[in-house]
Parts: sequence; C-alpha cells; structure tokens
Amino acid sequence: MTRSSDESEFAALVDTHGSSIMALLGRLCRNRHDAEEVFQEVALRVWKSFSLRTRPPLENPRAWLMTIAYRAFLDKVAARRTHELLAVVADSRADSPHSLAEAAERRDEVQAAIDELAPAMREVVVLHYAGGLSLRETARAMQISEGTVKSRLNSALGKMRRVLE
Amino acid sequence: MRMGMNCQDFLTRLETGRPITRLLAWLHAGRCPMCAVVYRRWNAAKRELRQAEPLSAELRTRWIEAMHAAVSAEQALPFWRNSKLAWVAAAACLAGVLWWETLHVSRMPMPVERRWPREPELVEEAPRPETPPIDVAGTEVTPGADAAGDFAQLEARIKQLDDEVANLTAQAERLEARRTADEMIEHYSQWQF
Repeated sequence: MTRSSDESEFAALVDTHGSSIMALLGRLCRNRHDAEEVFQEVALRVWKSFSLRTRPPLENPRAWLMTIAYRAFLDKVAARRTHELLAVVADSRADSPHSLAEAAERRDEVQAAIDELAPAMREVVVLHYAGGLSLRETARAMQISEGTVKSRLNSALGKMRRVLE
Repeated sequence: MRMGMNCQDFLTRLETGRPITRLLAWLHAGRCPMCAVVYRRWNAAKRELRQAEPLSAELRTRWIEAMHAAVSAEQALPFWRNSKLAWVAAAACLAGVLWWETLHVSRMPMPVERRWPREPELVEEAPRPETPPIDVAGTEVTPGADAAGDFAQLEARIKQLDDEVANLTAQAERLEARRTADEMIEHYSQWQF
C-alpha cells in the first residue's frame, strides 16, 4: 500500500468515525480537554499502525478505532496513576441554546446516571452504547470474557433502572 | 399479565438476554406501565448515548497533523533505534578510528634498518653506534615492527570497537524492552477491576 493511499485512508477514517471517537472519549474522560488530548494520541497510534508494512486490511474500522481509543484512555489514566482524571470539569455544553434545554437536561440525566456507575461498569456501558461495540467486541477491547462484560452490563443496567424509574 | 417476569429484571433481559427473552421483555413492557416508562426512558438514554457531535475542524486538523508528528517523532528516536542513523554513526566511528590510527602510525618512527640502510663498504670502514629506538608518546618502538603488524593491530582495535558498539546497542535495546515491559505491566494492573 502506498503512502498516499495510506494518507487518504487515514483522513477518511477521521471523517467517518472521528465524531464517534470523540463522543466515546468525552464519555470516558468526562472532561473535554483530556478527551482532546487522548484523541490526538489515538491519531498518532492509528497512523503508527498504518506505517506497518504488514498491516492487515481493516475489517471493522469502527471497532478497531474504538479499541485504540479505549486503550489510549486507559494509558492516560495510568499515566496519571489515578482515576481522578475523571474529575468533574465545567462542561462546554452548559452553553447550550435555550431551545435545546430539554435535550441538555436529558443528556445531563444520562451522564449523571453513567457517572454514578463504578469505572468498570461505566466503561462497559460507554463502549457498548456510545462506542457501538458488540458485547464480543467490548470484551475484546477490554481483554475480559464476554460473560464478564454481560455481568457488568447487567449490574450497570440494574443501577440505571433506578434512575430511569 | 406479567408472564413470570420480574420487573427488576426487565431491563437486563431486554438488553442482554437471548432473542426469545428479549421478545418476552418487550411484550412485558407493553403490559406493565412501570416498565413501559423505563423502556421509553431507556430508549431515549440509548439514543443520547449514541449521539455524537460533529467533529470540530480543529480536531480534524490535529488528526491529520498526526501523520507529520509521527514522522518527527521517528526522527527524534535515539540513534540506536533509528536504523539509518545507527549505520551512519557506526560508519563515522569507524572512519574516526581509522583516521586516528593512520595518524598515529604516520607519527611512528620508521624501523631502524630503513632509516640507516646498511651499506656493506661503510659498515666495514666505520661501524655506527647502536641508536636506541625513539619513544613517541610512551610507545616503545620495536625494531622489528613493520606495516603488516601495525595493520593487524589496527584491525584488532577496530574489531574491539565494533564489539563495544554492538554491546552498547544490545544494552540499550534491553533497557528499552524493559521500559516497555514495565509500562505494559503498569497498564495491565489498570485493566483488572
């Protein structure tokens, strides 16, 4: 594969999946600044893998990208040696127009429900619903069994049900 | 009709159950007002979770710039991890050693027999007194030293330096591998919940 085709494929990835990656990172980091930093790291990792001569063709680019994004997020957390990366920071969404107040309220409710979950459960919920990964893909990304993913998801849903009632 | 379904299990059965269980949960939501509310709110929450704002132009630019940043980072690698630079550095070291050794050899005094070639008739008339060899920079010159010996010495020195460079490279690679392993171990601990 030539360099120019790599470059165009790389650019196409951000056009197709960039917003989903950023949404996933926003949910995981809960902090726009950190999410942008991790997003940049994801770009570097993706391009690095593009430069590998033996790179296999991408069968499921979305799952691949979400996995890279999740791993980059974990590395960021590990680098800070604390989950306090997830500290609440004023969200830019507070500036939403008045007409979108209802949607913003719902968004806040959903985010609040997710925030209350333990990190392990939250990551499963975010990867599965925000990242759009199947249970199997989520298990692969988190390097745990599919049964564990299901168990964590069930616990998370049980807690979220109380918020939704 | 609840069809034997516990309301508390409704959401988990709907989301992670087998197809038949999901269908039963869905039917249950049609009959149980409380679960119907949960079902409606949960669907709104899922839509919200899937929603992604369009990527800003700035972030797109950052993504594209990663191509160039990655190239710069590769150039900034330690020289032993950059194969081209490593070869250039090794060649430069070798050239330096050769130059130094050549310079050293050219400063060495010539062998005695070449400085004072023996001429039979002169030797017969007046034999010259023995001149001790000159010591240059602490190097004692042996009367029997010749170019071949110097070359062998030089070759051995180059080989020794080559070995040192190879040892240092191997050591650096081991350190790098250890650092990577430490990082992986550190990250692995974060994956265990």
